[in-house]
Amino acid sequence: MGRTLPSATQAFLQEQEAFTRFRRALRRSDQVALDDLFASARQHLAAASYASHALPFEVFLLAMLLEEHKQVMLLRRLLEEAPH
Amino acid sequence: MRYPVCMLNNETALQLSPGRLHLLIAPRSLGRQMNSAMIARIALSHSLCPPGSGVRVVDGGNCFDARSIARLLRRQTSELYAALERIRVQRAFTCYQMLTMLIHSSTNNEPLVVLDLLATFYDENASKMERLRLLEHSLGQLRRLSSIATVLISSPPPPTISPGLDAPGEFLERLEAAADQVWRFEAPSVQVQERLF
Amino acid sequence: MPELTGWLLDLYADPQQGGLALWLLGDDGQRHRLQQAFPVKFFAAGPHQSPVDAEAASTGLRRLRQLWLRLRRQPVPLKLSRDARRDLFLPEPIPVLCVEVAQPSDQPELFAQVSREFPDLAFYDADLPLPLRHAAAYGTFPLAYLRVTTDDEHNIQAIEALDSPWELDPPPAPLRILSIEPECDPRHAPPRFLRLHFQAMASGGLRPQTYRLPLELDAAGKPTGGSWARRLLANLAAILRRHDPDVLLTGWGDTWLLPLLLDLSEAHHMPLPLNRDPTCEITRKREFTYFSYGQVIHRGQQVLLSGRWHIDLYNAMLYHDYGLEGVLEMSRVSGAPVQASARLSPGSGISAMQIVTALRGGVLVPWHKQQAEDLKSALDLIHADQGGMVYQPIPGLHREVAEIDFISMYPGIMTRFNISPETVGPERPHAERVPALNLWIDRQEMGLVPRTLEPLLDKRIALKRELLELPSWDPRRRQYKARASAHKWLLVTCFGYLGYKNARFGRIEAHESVTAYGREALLLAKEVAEEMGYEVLHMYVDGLWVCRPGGSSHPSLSLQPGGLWSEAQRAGIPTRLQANPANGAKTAEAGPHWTPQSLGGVSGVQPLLEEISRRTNLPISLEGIYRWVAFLPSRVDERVPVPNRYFGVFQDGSLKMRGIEARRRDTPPFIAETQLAILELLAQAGEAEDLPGCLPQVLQLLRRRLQDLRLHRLPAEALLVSQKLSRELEKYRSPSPAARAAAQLARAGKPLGPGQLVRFIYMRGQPGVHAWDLPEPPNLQGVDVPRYRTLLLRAASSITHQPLGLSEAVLTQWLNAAAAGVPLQLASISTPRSSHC
Repeated sequence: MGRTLPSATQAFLQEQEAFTRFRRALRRSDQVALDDLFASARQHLAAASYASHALPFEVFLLAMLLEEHKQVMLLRRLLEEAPH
Repeated sequence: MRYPVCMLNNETALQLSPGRLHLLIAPRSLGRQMNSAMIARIALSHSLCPPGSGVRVVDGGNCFDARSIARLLRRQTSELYAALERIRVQRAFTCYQMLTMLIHSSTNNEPLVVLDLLATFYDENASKMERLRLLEHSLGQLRRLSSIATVLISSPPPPTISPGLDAPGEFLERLEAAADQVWRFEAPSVQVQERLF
Repeated sequence: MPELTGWLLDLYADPQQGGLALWLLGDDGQRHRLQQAFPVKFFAAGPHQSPVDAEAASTGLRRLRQLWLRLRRQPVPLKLSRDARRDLFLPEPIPVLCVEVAQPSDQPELFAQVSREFPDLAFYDADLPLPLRHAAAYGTFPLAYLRVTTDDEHNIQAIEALDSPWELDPPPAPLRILSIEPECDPRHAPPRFLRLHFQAMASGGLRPQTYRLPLELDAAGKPTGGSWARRLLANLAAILRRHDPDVLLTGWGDTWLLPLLLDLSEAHHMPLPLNRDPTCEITRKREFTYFSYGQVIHRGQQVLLSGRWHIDLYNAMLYHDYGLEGVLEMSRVSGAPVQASARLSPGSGISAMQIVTALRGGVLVPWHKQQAEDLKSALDLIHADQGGMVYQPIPGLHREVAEIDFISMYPGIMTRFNISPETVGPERPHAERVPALNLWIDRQEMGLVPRTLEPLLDKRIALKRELLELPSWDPRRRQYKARASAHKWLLVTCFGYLGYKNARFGRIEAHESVTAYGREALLLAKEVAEEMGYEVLHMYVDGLWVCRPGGSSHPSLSLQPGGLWSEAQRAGIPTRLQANPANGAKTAEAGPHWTPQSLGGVSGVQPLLEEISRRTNLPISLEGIYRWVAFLPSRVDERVPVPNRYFGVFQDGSLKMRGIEARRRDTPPFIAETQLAILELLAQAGEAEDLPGCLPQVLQLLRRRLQDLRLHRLPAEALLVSQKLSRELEKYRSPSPAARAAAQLARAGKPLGPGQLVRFIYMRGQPGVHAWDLPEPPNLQGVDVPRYRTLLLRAASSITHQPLGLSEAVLTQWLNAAAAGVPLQLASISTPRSSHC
């Protein structure tokens, strides 16, 4: 009978598209960073889908934050391990 | 008639009144947005949907867009989940199911929204005579329901590609003839990708 | 009274003598046409009514009384009675009018009249195929081994099935098979002759024989005048009489051969004994097109026989997958007639099985299902409207990876958790809640769907077990594999069928429950794997890919300074990939060497399998351990991983691939073959760290294939693209290559419609294509070489990018440079750097 709601991937793309105007007005270097943020959130589509939140963008934001925090953790560790 | 979509949030536009059968004809993507806006509006309206009651949605086109309704509700209420619980939906995938759902629709005065009513009637598995018979039955049920509650039906214009179907336009004509109020929308000439909020 | 034993071949309503005609392939070698009295029942119930509406209920009874009177006044012999029967979707039995028609051949017409005159009534058991009714009544099925007692007029007095569809090694039926194929594809060119081959299966004791019958057709494929047609008909009739085959196995028999033969036979007034039963007409079904899940499906016309089966190899579903053995198994387990099983989707097989279960259990089979979805809140819909769990894999090359799959996950869930339309519903006592949904399952009584599936699942598992134990030379292996494949298709389909709108016993809540249990099982499996120290690389609906931490790498070619690669750098050729930003973390974490922990082979993974099985209550098995596997990123955005696009090599050297060009049906054979050849090279390379070593061979292979392309050394067939038309030609706004090819064919008098395949070659200039089935062959000098080159390099880079670090751009520039004579050689290649997985 086919799905009624858009899939998590479609929902994600819709949300991303809603920021087209925002993205356009950013500097090129900032656009790259924004694209990275969205790309990192896409790694968690399965979890976002399973969460089946009424407002999926909240989950996508959290996914971006999660990826950011992973980077922070990694950089912190590298700093700690680096020879002084 | 051409309304900007934002007018849908205005209580004065597309006024729904009990006892009347309202029909909204709009191209698919515009119709989807308008349906969501109307359902959200009804769910939050104290006059159409008093506290303790809900809005009932019968979806014939597999197009009930729960998430965009959630986004619209969230802008207008802090009690998103309560509002989502007030909207109750069931999906019909065949014209037999559509008729069954309308027959079994309760006799209380809950507002009823029927999405893409005709989609299930564009089905080459049943003969045209049979489908028209079921449509007449369904319209009878809708008239019965509209005498006690607010009823809104939505439908896109008839499909252009339809293998195995002849004259799908006839179904919409019958539906229009049965409605007390018809709002017809065209796609905006310039596609502006804007969100509803 | 004579007693016969043998196999059930065919069964249909006898239009002349009434009752059933039943063909038995006797142990005595004879084909017996028997008759059996077989009255059929159908039921009518009042109009669907609101359960509280007393007025509607009385209207219903009044309408049933009117139907009663109407039926008493018509001439067809029948018996009428009142009864109460169970509609699966209603809690209590409902009052029905039972109509028992004495002659099965009268029933369809009578029912058609009644349903026209009483459209408001609900009908049950009204349109069921006779073989399914017979199956429910006597336990028969196609090729059932029967004992039959008859009188002297061949009327069946008693009938008993001596085996069941679930037997693993049923007594083989000595079928006589006549295959007829034209010498070439009739869509492509007018065939000049027919090839005939006769053989007997099992202990038929008959020698195989071949024949060749000439055809004389004009360029458009129309028969020419002359005496050849009379000779053809006379010869064919003699062959049919001599061998009296049970099966007519044809190439394009539905869409071309049999219609042609029937037309010739009519034109020359020479009857052709295609039917074994001379009292029956040959059934011809017209072609049709329909929409299914947003896809256009085209089904060719069909020619069906009585007393004998006609199977068209090219109009049979899945014949390429499981052959005649699979078709017969599909029939055995589903009970659907062989000619239908060959042509219909596995969904129809599942439907047939459910109908038989319902009939046996006294459950009404609705003509039109009225049952509709229960009301649910918008929030419940958001939770329920999900498919299987699909993860984004960690892209890159991973070594020593175990793939573990739940065995027939969805059917397994249906039987294990008792999911069926009548068991799913709101909260009530003794019901178990579906994970994460507002739905409950009653576990007290086994549902119709699990009851139907259980024996099939058991048979599949038993067959798989047998297959593991059979030595490789055992001839039963091939048979078992074909049967297992038929089971697989039925089981794969049964889940979708539960959600299919026209399924008589489908229900969306049941469909949603199955996926909910599936997601739960996969998450439990992930948790178990992680608790046991595994890293989960990918999950896809019913499978997981796990490794031990450290088994993963994201390689890029690291090049030694100096050497000949510096030439490449000076020539501006990128020789090194950018680190993948999305995976920066993993790259940065990389250690200097491979430091994988081993999975410990098959036995090492065993505890994981057992624990998952224990926790989920579902059987799971090891698909295999990969030496290495590469998960590919999106073509559009390299940072984005895509589910189910991967390839890898198992420890036994066998390849597995999904989602790459070689698996796609529209990929030209030459490109698919080249991609596979590259994969074979990688498979032969050995361990993951040896992969870069085969780079020179890969490049050499590509250069050779590109040269073949450039010098037009490839046969035209190798360049063929096959695509499905998605709409009517006039509906294309900017015609795709497929539409342009179809337009060429239409002009040549060979029109194609939506859903049909069109085959073509890309050509230079306008219109850019040459349709394969045009009367004139393509001029191969005009082939669009650059286009094929691009397609080839894209397919090649799908394979080389992950394990070798060669992207499409690098590959193209490298090959261009090589063609331009830049002396590039690989000086040395270091092993891929490892990283934390």
